[in-house]
Amino acid sequence: MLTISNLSKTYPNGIKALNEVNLKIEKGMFGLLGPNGSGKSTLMRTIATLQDPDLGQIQFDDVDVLTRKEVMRSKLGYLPQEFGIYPTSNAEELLSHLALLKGIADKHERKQTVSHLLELTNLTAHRKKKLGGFSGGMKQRFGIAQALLANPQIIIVDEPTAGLDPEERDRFHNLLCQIGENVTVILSTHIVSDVTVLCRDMAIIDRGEVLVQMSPLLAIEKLKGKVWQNIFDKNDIETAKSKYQIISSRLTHSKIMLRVFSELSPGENFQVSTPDLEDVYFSYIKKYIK
Amino acid sequence: MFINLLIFEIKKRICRLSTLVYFLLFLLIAFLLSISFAGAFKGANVSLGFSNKLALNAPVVINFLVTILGYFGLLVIAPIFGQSINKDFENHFNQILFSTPISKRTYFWVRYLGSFISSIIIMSSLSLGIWIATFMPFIDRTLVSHNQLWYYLAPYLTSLSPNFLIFGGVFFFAISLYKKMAPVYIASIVVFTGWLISQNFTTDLENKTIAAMIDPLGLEAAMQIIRYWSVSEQSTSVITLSGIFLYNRLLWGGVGLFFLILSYYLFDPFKLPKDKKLKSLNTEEQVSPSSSVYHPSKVKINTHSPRIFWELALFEFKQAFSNIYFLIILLCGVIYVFAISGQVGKIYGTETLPVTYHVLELLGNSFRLFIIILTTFYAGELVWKNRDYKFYELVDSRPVSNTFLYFSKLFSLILIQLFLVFTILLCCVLVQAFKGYYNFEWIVYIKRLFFYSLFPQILNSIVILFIHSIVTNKYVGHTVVIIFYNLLVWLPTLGFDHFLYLVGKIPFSSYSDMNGFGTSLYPFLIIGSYWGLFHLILLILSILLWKRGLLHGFSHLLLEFKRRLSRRYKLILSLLFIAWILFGGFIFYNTNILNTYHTSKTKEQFQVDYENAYKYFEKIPQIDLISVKTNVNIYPDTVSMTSKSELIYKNKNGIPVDTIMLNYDNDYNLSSLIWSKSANIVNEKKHLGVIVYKFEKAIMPNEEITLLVSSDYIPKGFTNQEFSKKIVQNGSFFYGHDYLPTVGYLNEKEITDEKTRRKYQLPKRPRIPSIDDQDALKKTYISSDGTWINFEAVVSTSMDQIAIAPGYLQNEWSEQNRKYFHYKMDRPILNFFCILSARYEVVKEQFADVGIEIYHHLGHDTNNKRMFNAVKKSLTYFNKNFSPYQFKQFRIIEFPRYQLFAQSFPNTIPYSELVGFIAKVEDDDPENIDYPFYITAHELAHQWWAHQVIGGNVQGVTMLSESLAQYSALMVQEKEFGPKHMKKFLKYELDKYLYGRSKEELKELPLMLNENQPYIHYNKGSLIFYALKDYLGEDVVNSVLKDFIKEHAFKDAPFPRSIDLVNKFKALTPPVKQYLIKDFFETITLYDNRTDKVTFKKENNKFVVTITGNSKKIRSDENGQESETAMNDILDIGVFDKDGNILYLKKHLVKSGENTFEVIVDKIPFKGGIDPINKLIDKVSDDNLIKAASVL
Repeated sequence: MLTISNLSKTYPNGIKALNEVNLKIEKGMFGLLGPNGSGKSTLMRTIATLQDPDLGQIQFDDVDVLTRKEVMRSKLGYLPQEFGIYPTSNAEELLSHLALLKGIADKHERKQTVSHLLELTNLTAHRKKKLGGFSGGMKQRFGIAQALLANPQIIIVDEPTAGLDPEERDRFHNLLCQIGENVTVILSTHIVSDVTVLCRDMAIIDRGEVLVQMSPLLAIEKLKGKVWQNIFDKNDIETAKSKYQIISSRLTHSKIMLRVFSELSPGENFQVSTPDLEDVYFSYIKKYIK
Repeated sequence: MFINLLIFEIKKRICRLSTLVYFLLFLLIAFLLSISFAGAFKGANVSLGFSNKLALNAPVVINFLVTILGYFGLLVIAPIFGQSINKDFENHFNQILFSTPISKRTYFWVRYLGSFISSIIIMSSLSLGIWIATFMPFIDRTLVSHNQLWYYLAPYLTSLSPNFLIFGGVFFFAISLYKKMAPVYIASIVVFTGWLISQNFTTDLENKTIAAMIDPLGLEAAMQIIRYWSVSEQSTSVITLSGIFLYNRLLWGGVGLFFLILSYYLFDPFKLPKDKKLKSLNTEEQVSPSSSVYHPSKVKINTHSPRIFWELALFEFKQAFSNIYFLIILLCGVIYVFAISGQVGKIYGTETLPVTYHVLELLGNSFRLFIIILTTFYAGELVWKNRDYKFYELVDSRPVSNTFLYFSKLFSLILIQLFLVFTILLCCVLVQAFKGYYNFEWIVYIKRLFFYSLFPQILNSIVILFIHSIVTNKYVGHTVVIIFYNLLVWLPTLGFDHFLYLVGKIPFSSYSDMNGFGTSLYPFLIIGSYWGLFHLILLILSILLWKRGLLHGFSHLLLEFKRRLSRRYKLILSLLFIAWILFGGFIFYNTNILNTYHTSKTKEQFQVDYENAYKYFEKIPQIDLISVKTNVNIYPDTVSMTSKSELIYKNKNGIPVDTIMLNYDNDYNLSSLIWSKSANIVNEKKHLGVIVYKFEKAIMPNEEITLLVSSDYIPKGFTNQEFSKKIVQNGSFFYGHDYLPTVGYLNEKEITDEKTRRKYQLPKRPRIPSIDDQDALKKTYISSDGTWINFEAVVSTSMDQIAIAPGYLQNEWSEQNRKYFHYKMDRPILNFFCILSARYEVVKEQFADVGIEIYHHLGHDTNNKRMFNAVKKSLTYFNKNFSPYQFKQFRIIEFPRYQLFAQSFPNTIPYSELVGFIAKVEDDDPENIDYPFYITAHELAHQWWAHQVIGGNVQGVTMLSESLAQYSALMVQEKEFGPKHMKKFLKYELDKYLYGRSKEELKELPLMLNENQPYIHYNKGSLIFYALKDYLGEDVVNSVLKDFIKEHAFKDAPFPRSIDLVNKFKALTPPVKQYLIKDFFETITLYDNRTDKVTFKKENNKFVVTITGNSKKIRSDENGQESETAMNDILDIGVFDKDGNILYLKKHLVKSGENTFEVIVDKIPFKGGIDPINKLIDKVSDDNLIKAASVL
């Protein structure tokens, strides 16, 4: 279990990236939702030992992550949001290099691990290809492969499906689910539907603060009967915006469909709607629920 | 539109902070270099290779400074050009930009011109910096002349603008092709390599044109234009676009233009950098569902396995070779090394044998620059690559320790050092093999490369990694590294030269076949350990500072450092620090306590003190040495010597003498000094090496007194100075005046450089007394305390060595496991002797009544035959034409290559290992100058011109020794090799003379009055005496010399002067040629003969040749200020056939201005001209002889 307590981080330019973050993350898939600049990546990097917080603690099983980084690192698989590769190396070479850095000293073991992961990520055919020639999707698959090196106990993936086509995304999700059966997987994303499908638990984070930690299904359940929708004319939109707690708006044939948060019916033309995780997300981000 | 855009572009660039920074930076550099050129810093004069009296704002100095700093500016300009386009690509701005209506043409040329103009604006700081420097009150004001705007502007027009146009073209090409910055930097290094190569090509006169053309900077071409300019011309003439300089500019301008136009066509604004990406996107494979399932496999994780470290290092090492830039720089280095290998060690255009140490030093030292560039570049890559490629998060989140990461980088750098060392080894061996030399001395290679060179290289790698670990940006790191290198170079020139603070500098002696690496090992190990410990500390600090994860500035780094600094690290660091200090203390004990250490500034101060304290002794009569009996014991194993000598002096003054000043070298320990007459020490200054004695009873005229001296040289530990080259393990060579005291004030101890003298407020110093100074004729220029001495020496050495001193071997014996040699001269010799000892091979030949002996190192026998031949031919010629050889023996003795000369002592010629013993003379090439022959003849001639006739210590004295020795050697050479051979030799002499005068520090003087100026007494001497022989006839010249010897040989004071010899020539010169005496000896006279047209027509089976030319005779004053003088002279007019045979060569009357001659020859003429074989000193010597054209 990963326990994060009172984690705070302020950057030298004064931005508060994390503010008293407390989370308890069990084995299995954990979704971390938040808009850009919410502190997701800072949190991920901090767990991945790449950054130190100003205050707070992180405990993974019996390891104090912040003081025993090396132990944490040996249990960790990490896929950063943005990463580069050496363009002149090939996939097999570089993956093997990373395996080496992971501590797989035995040549034979390393070779086996590398070839298994390349196959898993469908890169076997390209293993001798220079990484400089990889497409975005191939590069991302390489990233996934390296995160799985040496049987990690905790996997942190930051926006992993960006740049993948739908089929690849599905395959990746399946893979994550498989893995999530035995280990802790923290999935940071802003694609809300991913979390609904995959995660048993999740947290929404904004401006460095955890707004909620809850199972996605429970969160949706809690919102039942509080999401309403109605179609407005373009001209009326301004008045509507000031009147209702709007979750989202969608343009259809010069009309606009608004989804609104409200404990009671906001008006006669509104119909109650089945909530989804996206509604949960915006309700929390827009502070309709506190 | 275009103009508006351009103005906008330039404005944008100028307003950038970096522009201002660069401008100020180059202003500062130009300023600093200028003031140090003009003597602002004591003991740190930067001459830049110019004459010492040339003003700072002389046009050639400004041109040089602006061009060379302009090149370094190129490194700045490179990004300016590069980024102008590249920036848009890196930001992917191009797609937005090109969707505006701006055309490709406008975009391209606005960017190009914008870069060009802003570069020039930045570099205008150079002239400004020099200009500001000229107003500084603290510089030597005599080195500033009137400021002329044109001098400052000209270099921008002829050098800098063309260079920027050229490189701008190349840079734009690199950018438009690769859309990356690195190729631009590589292009700068390629250009630099071209310049380096061109500099090495100039040692051979034949290659001068090539050298000037291959330098893309045009600097070499410009230097060739001014090569023969006198100081006066250099101060007033601007280098214009003409001659070879113009051709160079045209060639490279063309290259630049070619690349520029090419890049314009290749430039595709819509292309993304690296078009590969586009391709791969299109060839994206179809994702086939993978059948495999993730099964977490149990793998052993052991982050501390040494295997990991080793494989990481190998990975990084291999990465270097997939780095195209690394490979290109490496290739540049290798090309450079091979390009110069043909030029190395040439003397008079003749090659030397590619012996291992020679090839290794020349190629290795040239390659060192590339090793430094490569190491610096790649160390930066190693540290920053992860971050540059945004790969670091993948690496830094792995369990591998910082220690391993650091060591893998360091180790890969060490592997690269090893690789580079192997590269240079391979280059050297290949060069040797190409030259047909197969005696590879692997031991020398291994010791030098893998020990003496590799260790400091590794230390350097550690420093660079350390610097990169304390900075938070790659470019800041590189800048700090470059500053660090500069400090190491500049500190010693500023007088800060102690091993204790010159980081990573570990001294070792250069290799000699005779003496190996000498006594290098011990100090190398001690000072090596000292710096090794220091670098170990840096190494640990680097590990503690290793950047991991996200970086938030230096304070973050420091915080991390403090956290990682565990107690164990503290303990290790303290221990290392203590050990380092201990070694430092031990070094200090050796250099400053066991031995004395003085900075160059202190030494300068000592010279000043000596002059101020004792100058008055010049006027106080002293005594003369008349006899030396010396017992010298050399101990090669401990590189020490002891001696006991009996010196007899005589008062040759007409008056009593009671105060004697004695000088000694304080490297030697004078344990006892006992006069045969009681004397008291009245003044003693150990640091100046002076003792002044007052005799209780004065020494009466003609009275002889004896001085018993014990003088020892016992080295203690090691010093901060260069390794002793005098007493060594094998090949000791030292002078009598090294270990024996000298009487009287020693003028040669004074500071000679006028710039420095002015700084210490010392009066102007004549280099040598005036020719009219009768007092000065009492002394010779060889020694100031006595001329002719009786000489006897017993020299002992180890069993395996032979010890040599002047004289004939009387006896040779062994005693207590040491060898003794007793030498004695049967007649007085000059007070000028030396002692040598080494393991010699001896070769002897008898020639009439003279025994010829060569003492050489085992295996150095290649040129024995040439030396024997030269001795025999010279003896024959000199005996016949001058006088009989005064000794029964002539010995050539090899000494280690630490010095590069041969020197003539009585019957004894120490001859440097590097000079004649490894010369590679091609016998089948008639043009190849046999310089072992020449040098041997020259040194043998000194047995007459110095050891028989020695001149008084006044102006012109060296004409009597050096010029006559040159003449004598020339005559022997001409007899041996023929007149054609002489032409090439004299061509070098002409070049050296004209070049020498352009570098004159004080004033050029006529041959007869020269003040020990080598370019005059050797090079001009050769030319003048060879011409004199041509005009007066060999017999006449030799009869005068014979007569001169008869009159002056072995005589005591007053000694003869050059003018005495000149007068003898004058007396035998017919009236019509009298002008020659004035031209040759009494004035500085130069010709400018030019043949304009040579035509011929056939008449009655003969050919009538008409030669039209222009002649000018010039007199130069001591500063090189020239004035034309009327000419009514007799000059050669010559016609040659296709094979260079003389068809006609006779003297004609030639007047100033245009002259036409008509001569008739038998065969078809090919070339003709005025003074066609350059017998006279001609400022432009290659336009005298031109092709003949037939007219019908």
